Amino acid sequence: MNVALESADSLKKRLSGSGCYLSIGPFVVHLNTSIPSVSETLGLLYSEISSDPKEGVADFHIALERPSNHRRWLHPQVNFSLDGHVPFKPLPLEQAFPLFEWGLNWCVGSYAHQYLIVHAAVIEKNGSVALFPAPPGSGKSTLCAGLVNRGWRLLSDELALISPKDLRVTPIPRPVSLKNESIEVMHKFAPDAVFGPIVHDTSKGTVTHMKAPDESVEKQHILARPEWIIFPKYEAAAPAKLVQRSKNYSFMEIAEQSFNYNILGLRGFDTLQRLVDDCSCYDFSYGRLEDAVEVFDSLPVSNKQVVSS
Amino acid sequence: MSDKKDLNQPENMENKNKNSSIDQSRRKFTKVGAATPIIMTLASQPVWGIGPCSISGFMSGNLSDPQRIYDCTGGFGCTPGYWKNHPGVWKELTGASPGHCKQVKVKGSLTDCTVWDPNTGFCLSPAAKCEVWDGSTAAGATTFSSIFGYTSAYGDTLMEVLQSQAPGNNAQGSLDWHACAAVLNALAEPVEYGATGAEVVAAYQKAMEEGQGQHGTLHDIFAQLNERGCPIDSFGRCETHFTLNDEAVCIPVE
Amino acid sequence: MRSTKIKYQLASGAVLKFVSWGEEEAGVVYNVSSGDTHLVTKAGEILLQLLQKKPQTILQLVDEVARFPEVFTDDERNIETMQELLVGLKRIDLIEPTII
Repeated sequence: MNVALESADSLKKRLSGSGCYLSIGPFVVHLNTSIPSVSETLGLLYSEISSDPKEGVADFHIALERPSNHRRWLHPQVNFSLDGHVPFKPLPLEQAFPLFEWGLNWCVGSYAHQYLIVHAAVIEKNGSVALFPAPPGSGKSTLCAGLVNRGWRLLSDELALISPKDLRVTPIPRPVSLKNESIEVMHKFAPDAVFGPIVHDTSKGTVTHMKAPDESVEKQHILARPEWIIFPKYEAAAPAKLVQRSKNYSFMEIAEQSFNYNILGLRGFDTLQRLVDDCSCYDFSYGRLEDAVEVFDSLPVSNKQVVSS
Repeated sequence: MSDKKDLNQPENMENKNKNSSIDQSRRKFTKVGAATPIIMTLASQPVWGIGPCSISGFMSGNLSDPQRIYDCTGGFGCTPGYWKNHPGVWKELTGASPGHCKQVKVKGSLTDCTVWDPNTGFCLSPAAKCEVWDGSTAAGATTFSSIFGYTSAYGDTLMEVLQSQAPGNNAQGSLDWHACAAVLNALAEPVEYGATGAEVVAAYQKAMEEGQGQHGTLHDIFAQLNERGCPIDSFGRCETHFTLNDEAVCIPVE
Repeated sequence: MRSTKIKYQLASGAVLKFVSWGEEEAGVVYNVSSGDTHLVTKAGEILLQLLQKKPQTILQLVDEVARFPEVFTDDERNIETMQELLVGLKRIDLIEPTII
């Protein structure tokens, strides 16, 4: 059953009771929370994902709850826990849903070592698959959000899950995180997209999340192998420009942006070597999303087949 | 050694995409000195390394991963928002100047402040609540560069960086924004920040020297340190449930 | 101590893997034992590969690198340049000296 098919009250009741099992990409997340904003935003932004009411095995048992001390009332906060363990300091209560998103990123990045995990967006269209590894502030998420609203499929906006065996990326299409000016930019660029509530004063500034396009979620079982590695950089008023990039430097940059390159050891090196070998590497600077869409739509159509898992 | 060739030649790309915006010029390598063997190193990190919540961890390069939330233990910190909204405590607690009041509201209209308190920057004449704050160098505000040795794209002074929300130049969430709060927290005696002002500055300078890749890491450290809870109130005194200890630091009441 | 009494070799236990793309003046070296990854200049890469084959003195290395004139010019094929390169590699524990 999809989250969308459940009433808001029923979802809220289940989340605060026995919890919900959510199929998010290749993972099953069991979520418990009695915080209304999480339940409401989940219902809005994860409406297309499956929430099987049956009890089952979960990859991550996550809870978002208010602390029981004075922080429950004075400057109220929210705690994130994984399997009963609280790995982070609490955040202000109004940041509960962003904390769920960031916390889930941390869970995947910390535990899913069957993949080489890179902090990157991954998108696909007509078989062309582009990977955007990028540090915060590069404009990666804005670019990703823009392209997936112009026909590109979202595989992930934050975590590229790369198979060491065949370099295919396993999709984990989740809400795209947007911050500060990007929020207004995306509201104008994609007025029909679904956005979650705006949350102020986070460590990243003002943030919101844009729901992943329905088609991206429907096709999350379709893996794809990247052929473009593109390092985006937003520069106000800059023309959209792709410039070929040193593969040696690209290797180092991707390794630095990887959550578990070091943990995988030689396997991580080997996987990344094959990935960089296989792909064309470019720097991409842009100032307007419309120009970026034009450049990406002019990328050559791939001969590679995308295949189901 | 495997000497790989670039599998996708620019010429093929150009033939396929005459209208493409792909620039075929390859990035040129700046030739390092002939006697330099190593350009950069990505050191292997401990698998379960402690998150880089400490500035000393950042300085020593002992960081575990590029994630943005880390486990922080102990200490307190006030957010950039606190420091932006409470300029009156700056001088007394940190020695830094936030500038002074520019305009107050008198009978519903904005009026220029003509005399301000040199200690707090609040308006003395007309004596009213400040509506518009002047954090510029002309108002005597402490400059970003005098503290960090680098200019900020978001403004000339610490207060301007904290205030900057201009379209296309919004400092909120940036490294510079958090760095301003970090140095003010470190300088404020009642705040048990866990780092000195000199350490904050040194970390910022290190991030600038090492390039874009380290900016995000240091941003995350500062963000975590700045969000551990503010132990001081609007007047710079210990918050409710805190008390001043012998070292003039606000500590939680047991 | 005269340089001829010292040979250089890969650091004890170091197992290196190399990859390099294009004709740029750099390559990537992965130290399997430590897990460290280095972006090295072509000069650094050549020295590491020579030392991976067998330990060598500075003079032997100066002779060997004559095979790579595009990387080591006439002005750079000397003991001083070689010493600087070796110091750089030793600093990050990729090589070590050994007394013959």
